[in-house]
Parts: sequence; structure tokens; C-alpha cells
Amino acid sequence: MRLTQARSLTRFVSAAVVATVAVASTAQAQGTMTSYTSGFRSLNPAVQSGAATGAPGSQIFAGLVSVGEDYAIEPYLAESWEVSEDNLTVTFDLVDGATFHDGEPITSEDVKFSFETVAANHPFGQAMFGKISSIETPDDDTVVVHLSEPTPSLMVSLQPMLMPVIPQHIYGDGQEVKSHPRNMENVIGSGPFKVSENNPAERLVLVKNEDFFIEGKPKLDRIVYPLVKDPLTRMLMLEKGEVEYAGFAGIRPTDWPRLERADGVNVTTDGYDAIGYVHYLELNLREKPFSDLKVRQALAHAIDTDFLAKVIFGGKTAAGTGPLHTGNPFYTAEVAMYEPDMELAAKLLDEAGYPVGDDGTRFSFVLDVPSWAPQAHVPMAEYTQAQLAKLDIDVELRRAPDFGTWVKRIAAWDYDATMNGSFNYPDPTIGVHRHFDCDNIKNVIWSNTQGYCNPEMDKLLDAASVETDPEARKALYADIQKLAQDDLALIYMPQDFSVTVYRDNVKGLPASPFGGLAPMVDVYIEE
Amino acid sequence: MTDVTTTAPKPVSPSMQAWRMFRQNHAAVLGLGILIAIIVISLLGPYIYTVPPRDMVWMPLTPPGTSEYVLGTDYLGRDLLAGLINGGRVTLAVGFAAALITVAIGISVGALAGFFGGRVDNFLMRVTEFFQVLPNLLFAMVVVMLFGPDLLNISIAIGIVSWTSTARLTRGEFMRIREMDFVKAERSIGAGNTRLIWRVILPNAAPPLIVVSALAIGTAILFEAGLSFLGLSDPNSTSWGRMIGDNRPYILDSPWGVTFPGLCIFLTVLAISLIGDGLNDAFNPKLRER
Repeated sequence: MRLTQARSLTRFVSAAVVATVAVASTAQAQGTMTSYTSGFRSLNPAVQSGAATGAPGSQIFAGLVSVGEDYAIEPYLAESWEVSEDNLTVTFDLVDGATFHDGEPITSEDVKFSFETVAANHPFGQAMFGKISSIETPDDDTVVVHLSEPTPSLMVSLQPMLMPVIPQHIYGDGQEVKSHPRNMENVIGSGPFKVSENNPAERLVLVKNEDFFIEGKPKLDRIVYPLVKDPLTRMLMLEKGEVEYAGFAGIRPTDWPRLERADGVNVTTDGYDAIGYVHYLELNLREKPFSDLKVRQALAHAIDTDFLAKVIFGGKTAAGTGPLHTGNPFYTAEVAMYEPDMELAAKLLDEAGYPVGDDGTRFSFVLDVPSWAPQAHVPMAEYTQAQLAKLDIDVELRRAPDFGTWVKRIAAWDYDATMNGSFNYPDPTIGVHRHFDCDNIKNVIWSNTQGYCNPEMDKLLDAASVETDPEARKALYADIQKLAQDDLALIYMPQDFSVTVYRDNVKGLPASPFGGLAPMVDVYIEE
Repeated sequence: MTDVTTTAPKPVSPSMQAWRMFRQNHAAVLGLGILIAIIVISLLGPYIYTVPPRDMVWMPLTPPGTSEYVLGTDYLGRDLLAGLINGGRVTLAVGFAAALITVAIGISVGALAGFFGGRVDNFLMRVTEFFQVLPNLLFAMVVVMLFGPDLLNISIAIGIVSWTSTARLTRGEFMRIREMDFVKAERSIGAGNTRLIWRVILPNAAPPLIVVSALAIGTAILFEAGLSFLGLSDPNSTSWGRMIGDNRPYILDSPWGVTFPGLCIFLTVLAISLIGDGLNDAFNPKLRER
């Protein structure tokens, strides 16, 4: 109660401050936008993936381009660019006079340094920029990128969340960028907002960058991200209008109708196509019984993803039919569907050599349940346990106490099965290939930890990553999705219930498929 | 209690006399009735009401009284009534196991400290104080997180954090009784320490210990519910506490998911408290002459 009062008091004070500023300056609409964060370990998206870093990171740092409606590539820090005939050279012309938050100019050297940092440190660095053979900087405003092979995913990777332009004069001091102290303290960015307060245990406050390279932008004065982890607290804050904007709101499908009834609150699932958050049951394919395709088929027949989506998640999510999210431009539904059929599942298990034993079970395994998306993974795991019990498979659930414990187990391949989920990202080469490529069977989380390897799949993946003709590429991805479902490398669950919740007075939200992870240069609060 | 048989006009066994006193406390008898009913339902219920507690049987979040599943369903469409009936076993098992651990540790530590006194007492009481100043819930959470949330670990965690008051009470009783004449008499005819502790003093210290042990069950059940509420429950066995924890995120729209298991815990703990109160009366010599 006291907390609420204190918060509303600060809001009142900040509103008063904003009002004074509005009177003093001649600028148009502005305001303070309150959001929330689930906590982050770094504010530098160059070395840390994920939405918790990406949401504020995209405001603090600028990218070469931004991605607009329908994946349109729009100029941002790069005024213009030119792609050579052979698709192997891209020349970027940077905006004149752009500066970092400390006043240092943003030069082509910084861009080159950012490319190299991301390629070396970001989890998808190699997937995105591994084909860059060299980068030239003929003058301060020109960056020439040479590629060893055509890279159709290049341009879409250059927005700030995946390729932020970071200052070389700060991160190039010889320290490891991944663990650089300036990722959290006194962060100097290139984007529309500056960090004014970063207290990880309490809140993050961003303020308008008055010297931003786009005249008259950003429109907002401040963005405040208090740390709110509990879903129920989030719900109450949203309902009471204490939060203007929450991307990746982390609410449950059952909360939707309640929020829609609240005054002035809007809920949308738009803006997550380029994230493409999918959930799946990951089975350790190195071990019996999951090394047997028939067992995996039996599981796929027993787990009714459509039912989960429609009933458990109230029809607010789509059933998973393969590695690609339904919002992905390369998505196809023309894949093997495993109709719910318990008899067939039992038959397949019998054929695979797992009849019901003397103890009344066919086999038993431990299903790990990670801690980072309980609203999705707990119901999925409990449903799976109940369904497989009907097939006389004994599933023991093991809920991880924290993120680290779970990551350790999965990355060490020391597990039977786990609920899991990952982002497609705007291009499948970034978020999808990693789970299927034989070369990516690594002790790294969200790589090919299940140990799937099919040379035919590798061939398709390699072809798709260099194919520049969109139609041909689409056909390749159709084959990839089909093969992934035939092999059941992963058993797909309903897609994530990713939503943005915002108040009526929040205007100018980005129409980007990156949604809340796109730069908020046009957003303002209507009085 | 030792002189009861000599002063009473006709011989009545001490336990009979205790039961008589207990019976006079109507609230305690009611509590005993509730607890027996809950135990019977938990043990036999699953054979009579055979809806599988883990299966999805109806639409999720169905309100009570609107389907054949009278108490409604939870977020996965599981029957709440089936969950409650099956969850009772787990809750009671954890309650009794944790209380057993509490009592075992508490009585052992208290008995040794109270009987030997001096350095042993000093040392054991410092250990007890160490455990006393740790925040109970936090310490239990750490134990469960470290060793994994299964029923045994949860019981141990609860036991480890809640034995201190039992130990202090036992110590006090032992210190009082060890100076009594009959103990001195036993010692003078050559009784060893083991006999003195377990056969002579402990039975005479039993009445207040029985009361705290009974209450410990109730405390343990509440503790388990608290841990489950924070998400630290055995994912493979559903207790009432876990039902509350699991349904908590849906409390705004479907409060029945937490209300019914909450009521069950409330009734059980209330019954145990009433019984504890009755036991206190039964063993209190001052009330005997009434």
C-alpha cells in the first residue's frame, strides 16, 4: 500500500516536472512512459541476447537500419546503402554529425568495431555475421562490408537489438566486452534515449537524448522500467493503469479478457513476428528411448498441441507445427501432422520395443521444467505428464530452482527431456538453424543440445542460408520444416502467448515486427 | 502423575483419566472428529471418488457447481475435488513426517542439554540459538532449493527449522524433573544415564511434549503450504499447499482454485489446534480435581 502511494507520489512529481518542461520548451507532445522489466544482467545487446536486454537496449543504442512494417528495411544510422550486383558487397553511408551520448562522434570505425564485437560475442554473432570476410572504412561516414557468400539475412540483422552501434572508445579498451563494466554502469549509447538511472534491484530510467541524430526525436521525455517479476503484480499494475506500455507483458491468456474490461487498456499480439517465440518439448536424442523415431512419433501423437492451444491457452495462441512461427514469412503448414491418437501411440511404442512391463510402465524419464517461462512451461509439462501416464510412461517432473541450474543441465546434455522455447528472430538463419545444424551440437544453451544430426537437413540449411531469391528460399524452408517434423527433432508445443499491453494515451507505437524491441522514436503520451 | 495411583480412591489408569479430561473439552472432541474425518477421507477417498487428479477432465477454470465436477476445475481442467482428496494424503504425510523430525531433534537436543547441564547444555543451547535466529522460512527455502523440492527434503527442511522451541521446552522439563526425589532414588540404586533419560525423566516430561508435538503437525502443514505458495513444492505430488501456489496466478478470475485447498488447510490446522488445547487440559493436573 505504502509502495503504491510512494509510486503515485513519484509519478505525480514527475508529471509536475514534465509539465514544467513542457511549458518551458516549445517541443510538442512528450511525457513519461512507465513500463516494467523482469531484470537484466547487461544493457548491451551486442553481447547479450533476449528481450530483457533488447527492450531497453534498442532505446539506448541505434542500429544501422530499423525494420518497419512488413519487414521493410528503413534508414536509421545509415542514411543509405548500396548492394553490389553479386550480393557480396554492401556500402553504407552514415548519417552526418551523429554522436554518442558522451558527445564523441559516431564514425565508421565504431560501426566496424560493433560488427566485430557482435560477431565474436553475441550468441548468434556467427550465424548473423560469420560470412563477413572484411570491413573497410574509407572515410568517417562510409562502411563497406564484404561477404564471402550472399547473406539474405544481413539487412534485417542490422537493427539495434541484434547489431547495436557501440562506442569503440569505451568498449575497445582491451577488456572483455562480454563482461565489460560499462555494460551496466555509465552506459554510453548511440540511440534516442540515455541511461539516467540504472539500479538493477529497483528500476531503470531512460531520458531523452537531446542530441539525437534525427531532428525532433525522440518524442518521449522519459521511459521508466521498474523491476516487476511477479505476474500477478504485473496484472494488477496493468489493470490499475500504473503501466503505460508493457512489451512481452508476461501475462497469461486467461488474463486477457480481464485486461480488456479494464478502462483504457489495450492488449495486442501484434509486433512479435520478428521474434517468433516458439515452445517445444526437447528430447535428448542421444539416449534410449528417444533415439528411436517411433517413440518420438508416439509422443507426438499423444500430445495434442492444438488442444493445448485452444483449451489450456484459451485459443489465444496457435498450435506449433514446426520450427517456424506462424508469423514468419517462410512459415508453411504443409508438414506432417501427428493427429491425437492414443491407440496408435501405444501401438508405436509396442513396435519400438517398449511394451508395458511387469511394473505397469513402459519406461520412465525425468522432464525438466525451466524457471523462465512458467506461465507456458508448467501447464505444458503437467499436461504432458498426464497424457503420457495414459500410455503407461512414467514422467517425473523436475522444476529447476533457477535459470543457471537448468542451463547447466541442458548445456551439459545431462537430461532426459526438457520443456524449452526459443526465438526464431527475423531470419531463420539466426534463430532456427541453430537447433538443427550438425555443427551446432554444442555445450551451449539453445544450440542443438538435443543432438540432432541429419546430413540431408544440413544440406538444406546450407542452401537456404545463401539463397537470395525469396521464392526459392521459401521452398527450401518448406522442405526444412517438413523434414524437421518428419524427424521430430523437437516436438512443438503451442507458440508463446506474446502480448503487448498499452494504455489508450500511448501513441505512435512502432509498427515494426520487432514490436516492443524496436526503437521508440515516435512514441508519445497524449495529454 | 506418579502419585496419581496412590491418591486416587479407585485405580484408574492415567491414560483413561486423560481421556476423561479430554472428553470434557467439547471443542477438542470436535477437532478430533474433524481430523479423523480428514484422515479417513484422505486414505479411503481416492478409492471411492476415482476421478484421476492429474487428468484434464473438463474445461479449465470451470466455476464450482456448473458441471459434474462439483468444486470446479483448475487452470489445466483438473478436477479440484479429486485434487483435494488426493492432496490430503500428501499434506498429512508431510505434516506428520516434518513434525516427527521436529520432535525427534527437539527432544534429543533438549533432553541431553537439560539432563547433563553445564558445558553440554551451554553448547547445545548455543546451537539452538543459532537455529532460532535464522529466519525460518528463508532457511527452509534455502534447504529445499539446495537439495531439490521432493517430499522428503521438504519434510526435513521444515523439521530442521522448527525444532528449537521443542528443544527449549524439553530442556526446561528435564532440568525441573532431574532434581526430583524419585530421580535421585533411581540414580542411587544405580540407574545409568540412558535409563534415567529415556525411562525415568522422559515419561514424566511427556505431557507438555505431547501437546507441542501435536501442534507441530499443524505448524508443519502451514509451513509446507507456505513453501508451496512460493513455488517450492514437489512437482510430482500435489499437496493442498501446492494447489494454492499453482492456482494463485489465476486468483483474480477463479478464486475457487485457492479457496477450497485453503479451507482444507484451515480446517486441518484448526482441528489440530483444538486437539492440542484438549490435550493440554487432559494433562494439566490442576484441572483434574474439577
